[in-house]
Order: sequence, then C-alpha cells, then structure tokens
Amino acid sequence: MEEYLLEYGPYIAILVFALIAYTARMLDLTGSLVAIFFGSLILYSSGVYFLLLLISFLVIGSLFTRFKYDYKKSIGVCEPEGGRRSMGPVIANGIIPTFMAVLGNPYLLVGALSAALADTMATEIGALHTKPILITTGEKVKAGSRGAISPLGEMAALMGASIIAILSIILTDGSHTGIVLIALISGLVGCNLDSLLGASMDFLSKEEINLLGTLTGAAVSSGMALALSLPV
Amino acid sequence: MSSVGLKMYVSFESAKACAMMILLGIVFLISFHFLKKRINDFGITLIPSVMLGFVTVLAFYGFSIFRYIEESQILFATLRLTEDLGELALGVVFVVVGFTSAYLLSTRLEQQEYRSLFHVVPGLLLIYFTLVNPDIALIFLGICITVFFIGEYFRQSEDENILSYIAKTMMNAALRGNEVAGYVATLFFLIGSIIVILFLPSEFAIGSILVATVGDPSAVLIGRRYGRHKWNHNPKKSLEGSGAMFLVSALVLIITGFVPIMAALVASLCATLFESLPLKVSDNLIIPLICGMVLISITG
Repeated sequence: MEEYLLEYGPYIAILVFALIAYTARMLDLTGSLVAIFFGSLILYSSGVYFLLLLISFLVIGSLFTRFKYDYKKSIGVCEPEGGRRSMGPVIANGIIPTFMAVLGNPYLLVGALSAALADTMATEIGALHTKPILITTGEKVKAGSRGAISPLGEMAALMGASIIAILSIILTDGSHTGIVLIALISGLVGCNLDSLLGASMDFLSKEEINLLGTLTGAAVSSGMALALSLPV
Repeated sequence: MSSVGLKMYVSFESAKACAMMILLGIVFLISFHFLKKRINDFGITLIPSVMLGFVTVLAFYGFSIFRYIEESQILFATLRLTEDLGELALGVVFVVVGFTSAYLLSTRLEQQEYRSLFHVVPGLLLIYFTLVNPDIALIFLGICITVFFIGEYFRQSEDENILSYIAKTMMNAALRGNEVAGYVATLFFLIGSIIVILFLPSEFAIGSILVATVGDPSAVLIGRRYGRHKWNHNPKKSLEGSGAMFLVSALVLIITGFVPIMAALVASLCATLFESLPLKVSDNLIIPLICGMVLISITG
C-alpha cells in the first residue's frame, strides 16, 4: 500500500493542484488540462523538485496578475477574464521550461523559468507605472503597450528573477551558487528581449514573443553554465 | 541531483559555432540597419557591418585569432568531414535535387500545397545530415537560420539593392497575403530543430523532426481536401486532417524504427492533439518539442 502511495501519490497531487488552480480561477479548463499533461511528464521523467519550481511560477504569476487588478482593468492593460489563464499562455510560457525540466537539467530550467516569471511580473507590475518609454526609440507610450519599459517594471523583473534564483538553491541542494547568478541574468536578458521583440516585430503574436523570451533565458543560461564551467 | 549538469548530444565546438553564426548574422543586420541611414551606399555599408559582426564573434574567442583558429581546427576534427566525404557529397546532391524539384513544383502546384511542402525538403535534408553526424546538422541549421534572418530582413526592406532583389524573388512566391509583413513559420521550424538536435539523442531528434516534417503537412493536405467533420474546440481543424496526421506520423516513426512502437504511437497521438489546438504559436515549434518530450519521458 505504501509503495503505491509513494509512486502514484504525486500524480494525484497534480490532479488535486489542477483542481485547486481551476477553482481558484488561476487556470481555465483547457489551461488545467495542459498543466496536468506537462506536470505528469515532468514528474514521470525528472521528479518532484522540478515540478515544484514550475508550480511556484504558476502561483506567483497568478498572484501578481491579481495585484491591483481593478486599476489595471480600468486602464485596459489587464489579462482577460480576471487573469484566468487558458491553454495559450500556459503553453507559451510553459513549454520551454517543461522541456528543460523533462531533460532534468536544472540550469536550463532555471534560465527559462526565470525569464518567464521576470516577464510576467514586469508586465503585471510595470503596467502600474504611469510614464513608461518604448525600449527601441525611447518615446513615451501608454502603460501596458507592447515593448514599453519602466524602472518599476525592471525592478519587478529583477524581483521575479530573484524569486526563481532563491527557489533554484533548493533545487540544487544549495551546492552550486553559480545557479543564482544564472537565474538573475537570464531572467533579466529574457525579459528585456521580450520587450525588444514586442516593440520591433509586430507580426509576432504575444504568445510567440513570450515563448521566444523563455527560449532566450534558456540559451543565456546554457551559455553561462558552459562559460562558468559548472559541473556537468 | 546536484551533479546533473548541462548534457548535450553534440560537441561543444559545433554548438558554439552555430551560436556564433547566428550572432554574426544578427550583429551584421543590426549594424547594417543603423549604418545605412548614415552611409547612403549599399556596398560601402556592408563593409563596416560585416566587420562589426566579426569583432563581436571574436570577443567570444578572447579577441585572439590564434584561439579562433585552434577552436576551428577542433571543430573540423569533430565534423569528420574527410571520413564522411561520400555521405556529404550525397547530401549536397540531395540539397541540389531537393531545392530544384521544389522550385519546379512551385509552378505546378497550388500555393497552399506548395507551402505545406515548403518544410518537407529542408526537413528531410536535416534528417539526412543528422543521420550522418548531428554536428554537421547543427552547422547546417546555423547556416540556414543566418541566411533566413538576412533574407527576411532584405525581403522586407524597401531599399533597392541586389540582396533585396534576390530575397524578394525567392520568398514572396510562397507566402500567404498576411505573411508578407513577416514570415516566421520557417524560423520556428529551425529553432525547434536546433533544440531537439542539441538536447535529445539523435534517434529521438530525428523522430521529432520527422513528425513535424511529414505529419504536419499531411494534416494540412488531407484536412484541406477532405476535411468535413470539424473539431468542436477548433473549427479550423478537422477530424480527417488529424487522423491523417496521426496515421502518417505513427507509420513513419514505426517504419524508420528509430523509436519503440509504443513510444511512436503515444508521441504521434500527443503531437496530433497539440496540432489540433487553436494556438497562436506556430505548430512548427510546438510539435517537435512535444514529440521530443514524450519520446524522452517514455523511453529514457
């Protein structure tokens, strides 16, 4: 009995968590289904620590989506449906981190996830800044428009990257301090590239830009892991 | 867990070479874009832009030509160009035959069908190169992405010069109306292929690229001709198209035999499911990633 519980317990926990995320209006039905699929893949191939990192990304991202939601709604920069994510954003933000987690590679996962969280938090908190500028030309734009950056948003991005950095210490048992640096830098680079693409390439959809941002985070982190010659 | 590090299935040198090629292309384009306003001459603008690109790349070799030459020699040793000379020559023949037949087909087929074949030729070539040597496939991809970036920039630019003329005549034929503003499907296909070749064992990488190359076009072709029963969750995709995609990808995976039968079935099913979803992200990136993830979780 106990072995069964240990073996299948985490999968049941995923189902329960998806149910909680659904009832707490973090995800809608399609989003929860995709999340269950991604979560089970990670659990089956890499284990529960990698999964916890992704779940914390989802929870923290959703919390900051609701932060001052009414104000964001009044200026028209909020996520639709009360910040309830459907499968589009879940796949766009989650597929690269999930792929890296399935590979069982902490550096790549941390890089991709840090970029994803930094971008989400910069979008959600940076929208509160009243005078953002466009990243390419520096002209003043409306809050929440594509490619807008502000000091507040950059601080939020740094905060998001540091949250993942702290969590990543748990992932590697605190034995590699290099992973903290990786998380911070790849988060900031991924987030700003996201703004740059948003400002310059208007034919890319918002989801594609998010995906390219997480991909940049993963690329930066793999480059840094090789450059710092962290243990392989 | 703490000993898990960066594991790649290609050599470090070829990954670096691929990254450097893409970087060279991007730096070249950015500097060209900003310099052309100052220097109103196409030929003269090229020189400082290319030089800036090379300087940026050299920074990653510690600004030392000797280190660059040293690492290039290691790269050529890992590529085993002389040992695989026969296979490579055959590959070049395939490249010529493939692109010539694609060009000939482009005048016969309707635009939509030609478009769906647009990825089959490079995809099959990529699979061939991966079979010979994944490092060569990665270099091939690096060249493709760099050429794509430069070609796409000059296709969209309004200046009159030889590069824009070539890019416009080559690419505009295959594009849908709304894509003339920006064509990214190929870019996503190339990015997806790079990810699977870098991080997956070559048989899984080949499997994932096969599904994206052969399965996805069959869904488009069959779904457009015979698709009657539309899905509830996405009226643009039909039961017939998805069925064709599942059958073709499962068959191709089983016949080529790179992956176990069970894994082939599950991977094709997952790829088909994700293909039928109404997503705003290009299928060409989602399908290889989903396929690769499923293959490596089931068998690894």
